Amino acid sequence: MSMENVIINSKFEFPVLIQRTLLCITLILCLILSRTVKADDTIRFNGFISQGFIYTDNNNFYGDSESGTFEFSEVGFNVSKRFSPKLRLSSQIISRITGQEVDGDLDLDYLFLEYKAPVSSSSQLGLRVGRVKNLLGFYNETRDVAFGRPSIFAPQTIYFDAVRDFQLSSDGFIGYGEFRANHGTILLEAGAGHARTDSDTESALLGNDFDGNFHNEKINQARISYALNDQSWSFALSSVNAELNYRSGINTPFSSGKIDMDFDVISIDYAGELFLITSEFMFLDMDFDLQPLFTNTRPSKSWYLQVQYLLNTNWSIYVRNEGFYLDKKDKKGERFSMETGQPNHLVFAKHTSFGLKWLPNYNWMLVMEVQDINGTATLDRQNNPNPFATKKDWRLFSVMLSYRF
Amino acid sequence: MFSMHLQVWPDGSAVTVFVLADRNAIHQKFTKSQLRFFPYQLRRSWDKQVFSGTGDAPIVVKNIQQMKERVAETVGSIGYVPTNLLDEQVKKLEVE
Repeated sequence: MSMENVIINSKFEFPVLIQRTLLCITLILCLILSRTVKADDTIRFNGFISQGFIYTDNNNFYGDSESGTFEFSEVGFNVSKRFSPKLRLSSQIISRITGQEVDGDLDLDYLFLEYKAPVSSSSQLGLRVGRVKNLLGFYNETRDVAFGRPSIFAPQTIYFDAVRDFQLSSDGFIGYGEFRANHGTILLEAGAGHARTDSDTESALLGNDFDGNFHNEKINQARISYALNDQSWSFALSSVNAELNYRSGINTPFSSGKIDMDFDVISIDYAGELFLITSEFMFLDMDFDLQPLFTNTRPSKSWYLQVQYLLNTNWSIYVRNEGFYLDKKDKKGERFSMETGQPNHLVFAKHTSFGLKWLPNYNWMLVMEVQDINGTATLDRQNNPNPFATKKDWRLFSVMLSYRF
Repeated sequence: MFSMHLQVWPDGSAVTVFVLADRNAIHQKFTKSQLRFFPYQLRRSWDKQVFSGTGDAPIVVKNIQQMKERVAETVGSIGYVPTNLLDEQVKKLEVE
């Protein structure tokens, strides 16, 4: 272990340990609170905690995973209060430790007021105002919770960790209408608001945290979902458009401008007696207008297909194939390598995953997963600051234990 | 209503749903024969609503006796009971 590693490890270990202890204490207090407060039907508490272990043979995924890392913890607590049959206030606070610099901070995941009312015997309309989860695919709304993900990690090729906050939720409103017909139900949702950006977003999108900042970050989104009433097939089409305006600082090597991002996702899900099959495709167009450094248009493409076999009520296994191309016109990264001098494997990623899930009862879950990965597009820069040190082929092994109440 | 999507009765009052635990044999039988779902499908639907803040999961009771008591004392609630254990406490709903 080099001197650098020792210093970094000791810098993070002690504060991380304190943070985790404080979070555990907070969670236990929440657990006690949820039991002692008279559980009247109008207020509900839920909480969850997950602890994982990750080992990678090359590259770093959440902390120093090449040495094996436990820097994979998630804690969350949500509360939902019904003021009246049609009016609800919901909030969720989470905290994650994933080997990042801003680890363990409490994060307001969502906080919104929702009004929902039937307009006929087969339809209802609603409106959510506040910090709302973005309408992206099947898993964006529940990706923070282990029990809401199809595997240990939400498919990295669509649910990016690098621009997590930005993808996760926004401050504004979402209006929706649900219409139930004989065989299926249609749900139409649309909203607008202010996108969440921070220095992580800047690093992820621009390669560095420059001395300027995003401002006037707008987001517009819509999703159409259709699900059969027998809960077998579900489909969704999501579209999220964000305009991130950037104001350059004195030392920023480019002028003020903006980045336009267009996420379009097609989602399909089949839930049968023995098989659960999910597939999503995403087309992400990024248009940079920050002269003269960032002026390109990047049409990214990503997808995954997961097949889960339900062995019995408690056990299931899954296999998943996923792919991500930062530029669908440069899938092998050859043009990227020529233009930047960096390794071509930085712009694509192909994952094959195998997992085993055990849910012995409502509260507990244990998942084990092995991934074989070709390409490093889904790695984050903070844990892998030197692109030349990354390796194209790598394997990831992880175990995660989760508890909810 | 058991999928927790419809949260309000036609008269505007709130729906409260009681169920037995996911792995309870009576719950599994009710889900498959009356609702025509697999229990895990219901749980997936409830989880999605609970963890996105857009709905509640049903209240889980320990046994049929508790089910009858809770439904009887909670206005606007529904649950399920095997026919041979029905009594005056609750009103039976015919499902077409």
